[in-house]
Amino acid sequence: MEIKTKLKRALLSGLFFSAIITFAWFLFKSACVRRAVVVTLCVAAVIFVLKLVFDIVADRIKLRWMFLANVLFAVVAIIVFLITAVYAFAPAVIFKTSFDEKAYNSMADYEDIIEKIEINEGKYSGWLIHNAGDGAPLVLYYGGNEDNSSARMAWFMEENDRLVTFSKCNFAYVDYPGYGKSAGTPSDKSLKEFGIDVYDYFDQRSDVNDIVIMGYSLGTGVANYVASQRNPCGLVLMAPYADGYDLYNNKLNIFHGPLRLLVSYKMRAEKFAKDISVKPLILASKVDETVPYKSSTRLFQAYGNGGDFVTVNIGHREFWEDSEVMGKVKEYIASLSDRAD
Amino acid sequence: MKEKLGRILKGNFYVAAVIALAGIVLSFLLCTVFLTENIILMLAPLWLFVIFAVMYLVLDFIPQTSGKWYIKLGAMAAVAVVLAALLILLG
Repeated sequence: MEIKTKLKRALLSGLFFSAIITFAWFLFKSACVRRAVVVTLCVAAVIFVLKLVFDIVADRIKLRWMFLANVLFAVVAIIVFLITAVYAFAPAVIFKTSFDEKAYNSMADYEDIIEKIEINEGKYSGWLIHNAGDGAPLVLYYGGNEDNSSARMAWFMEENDRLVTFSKCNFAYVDYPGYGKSAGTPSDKSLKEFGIDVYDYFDQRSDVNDIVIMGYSLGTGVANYVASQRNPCGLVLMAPYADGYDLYNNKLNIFHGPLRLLVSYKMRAEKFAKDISVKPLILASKVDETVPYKSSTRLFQAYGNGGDFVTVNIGHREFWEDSEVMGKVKEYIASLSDRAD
Repeated sequence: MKEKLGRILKGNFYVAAVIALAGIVLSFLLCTVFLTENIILMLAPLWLFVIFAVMYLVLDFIPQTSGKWYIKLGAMAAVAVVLAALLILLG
């Protein structure tokens, strides 16, 4: 057998087995990855068929420079693949779904204070801490990435003083689609629908009067969207971003101009901010490695009625642990209660 | 006509398959680069490509396996199962 033929077969074997093994590996990853894999395989099938059609047409019209045409086809196909990969796989990089089974099981120990929440026939799942009794303001929390309701509730229960910030209110946290026990996959659309469904669920409960929306990191976009569509009595945002483009550019700074079209998680919080009537409390850090400080300041400037902007110097994961941040949140919630009185 | 079409498709099947597979591997590589932090897992599709391409050439070089496609395929499939299991467990 010719060396050229052997090399060709080796190339095909390498590509085939690499694709098959990575495919099998990705099947055990998150729903976002699985969805992206399906999209990639569909694109590959389309390109495969197009190439065969292209060859038949080229033979019919007796196309010269066949080698050049093949190279051109390959270049265009690879560009299409790269665009598809960025568009389809980026959500998998942005959304890091998590579920803490140990924390979930431990919730049974706190049945007297923590109520299990199931919304839309169990589609969304989460927990509500009855910290201050019926009628007290409810803090509806939209969490950050890699976070989930069970882990947050378990964190509250580990030490008594962690709930001091919310001593005069109840606290609810429902998992995003694909996170915790909630069904579905996270995306711009599913997160917006989720945010509204969860807010409406609590708004319709007879034991809930006022709702304060609280968001952290990824959840600030959802919190802003819900606040722009509904009428909460307060809005607290920790490490907020102006839009999804900023999150993408923080990972890989290429999403400008026409490349912005590749961003599937847009979440234009800056745009939603214009429709929000309540004055928010914004906490942002100059040394935040995940959400750029500039993005938070740009968002703050978009609120028509102003608000409070607090600058801190802590890492992205330190907001919940920081006493200054928790102190400001407590003050803000107390000021809302005073205003209501 | 049918024969001609068959001949065209047979002759160009390889190029179409390489373009489609290369595209898939490239997309997967882009994903692993951003999804994982471990340098080995980060470039896993690339390592896998190299391993199996070299493996094919080595098996083709050994006289006992060179003419027997089913032994080559069996050996590569066995290695593929082991590597896939490792990736699933470790990654």
